[in-house]
Amino acid sequence: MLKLGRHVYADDQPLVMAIVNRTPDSFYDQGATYAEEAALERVAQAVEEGADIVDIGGVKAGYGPEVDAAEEIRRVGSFVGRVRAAHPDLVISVDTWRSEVARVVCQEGADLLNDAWGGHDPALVDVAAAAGAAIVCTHTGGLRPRTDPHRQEYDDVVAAAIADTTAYAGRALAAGVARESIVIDPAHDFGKNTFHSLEVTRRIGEMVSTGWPVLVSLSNKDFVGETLGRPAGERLAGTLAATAVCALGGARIYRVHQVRETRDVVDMTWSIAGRRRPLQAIRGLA
Amino acid sequence: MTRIAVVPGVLALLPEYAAQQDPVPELRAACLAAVAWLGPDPVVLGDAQGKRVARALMSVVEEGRQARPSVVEEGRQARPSVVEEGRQARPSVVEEGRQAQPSVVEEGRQARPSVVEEGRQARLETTDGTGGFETGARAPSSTTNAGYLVVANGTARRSRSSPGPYDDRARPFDDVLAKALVTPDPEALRALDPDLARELWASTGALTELADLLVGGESVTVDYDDAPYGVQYWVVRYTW
Repeated sequence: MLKLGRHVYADDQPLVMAIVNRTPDSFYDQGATYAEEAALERVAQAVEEGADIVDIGGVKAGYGPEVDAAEEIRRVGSFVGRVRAAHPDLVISVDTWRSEVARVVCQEGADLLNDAWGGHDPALVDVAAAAGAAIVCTHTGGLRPRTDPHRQEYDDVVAAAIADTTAYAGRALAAGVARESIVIDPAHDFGKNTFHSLEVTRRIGEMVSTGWPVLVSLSNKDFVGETLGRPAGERLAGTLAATAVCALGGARIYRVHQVRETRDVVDMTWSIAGRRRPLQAIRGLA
Repeated sequence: MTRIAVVPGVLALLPEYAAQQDPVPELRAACLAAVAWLGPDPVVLGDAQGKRVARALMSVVEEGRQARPSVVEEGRQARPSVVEEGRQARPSVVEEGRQAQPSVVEEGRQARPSVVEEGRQARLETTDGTGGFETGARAPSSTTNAGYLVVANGTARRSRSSPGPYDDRARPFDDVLAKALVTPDPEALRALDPDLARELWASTGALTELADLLVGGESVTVDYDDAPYGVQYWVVRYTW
């Protein structure tokens, strides 16, 4: 069972998490949903296309102008409240590493805290526990927030990802976050070169075997671009290929820009793996 | 009392082929209600695939009995309760089936009283108790309870949406078969051309055995009569 705030999911349900950027400078959409109304439209569209979760972010993951906590709260705080009001049954995730931001968005109705920076703020788990929210524990190889890797290497990148994410999960558990509300994420590209991300993708089943539900954030990332020689706007096929591999390995949550395509790939792959029944089946059975 | 139910051998009824959305919900409901109405451990007549379908339906009904013993008791004592339950769940189908063919039922009943009598006499002479059928089916008796689950269906080449290539002989074949089942007319069931049935992808092998079981004077209820995927299905119940 997976519990994301007030929402409970059975083990045979893969979930699609739609990225909603409230940033002016994100690498993929370049601020297309920075305006609040545009972001709300993006949420509605993602829901219509089959998203189970929206992941709202107020700070670009990569380098860029400084965004302090107050500005981040200005971008995402009340917006979470508007999304909650408009979509009462939707799981709302907020992409933040800051406990002060987390506290505000949980009050506004967030169900899940997506900490892309591996527990940089140790108080984040306390906020999740107090609010009854779920948390995503990522592996960044020890990088500070918004830092790209430079000559970072691992003896075994998957072993490192497992060690760090499960240790973080243990800290969340100790803080009082419910076991069924803790998710781990190898964090493709974060603290990783392309070879690392490919290896994590190939060996995602090892993370799944830890028993913690695994989130993968693959969408249009640099490891896809470098592997195929494609710029940010031309990485869908590569993203979906990586998605299929992770789905075959048993990842539970897929953080994406393109919801409909991902939904189909994940559902198809889970059905191939025998974890999901076809939606309809009468061919040859009538 | 003897009870017989005819259900189609639709593989989509098997649990291993279950999808998220049931492609045959009304048919499944009719089949399960009919199997529940038969009571426990009916004799199953059909080919290998048909028997698999029958056993799957029986398993579902048995699980329901174990989960809801009060319903089981109701069903065993009077049996109509389970059937009624099924009817309530799919009234439109039941009504549809009933409305579509009552005249045929009445026609058959009124037109063949002598055949009914003939049939009864012939059975008494030839079966001599329970050992007279090659199929192993028990001969019905007015003093014992017997249940038979017969798996058969019509053609699968009757329309452009059928699994098999369209054949204009399919609908007439189904019409003859429908009348034979609903009347019921054992001689017409025996007279079905097995080669033509095979060509039209109909599953009628067990209908000869059904003909042997029908003694005339049966009460006939058509619970389902439709061809939702270009294959003709019936759920029919007989009792006497």
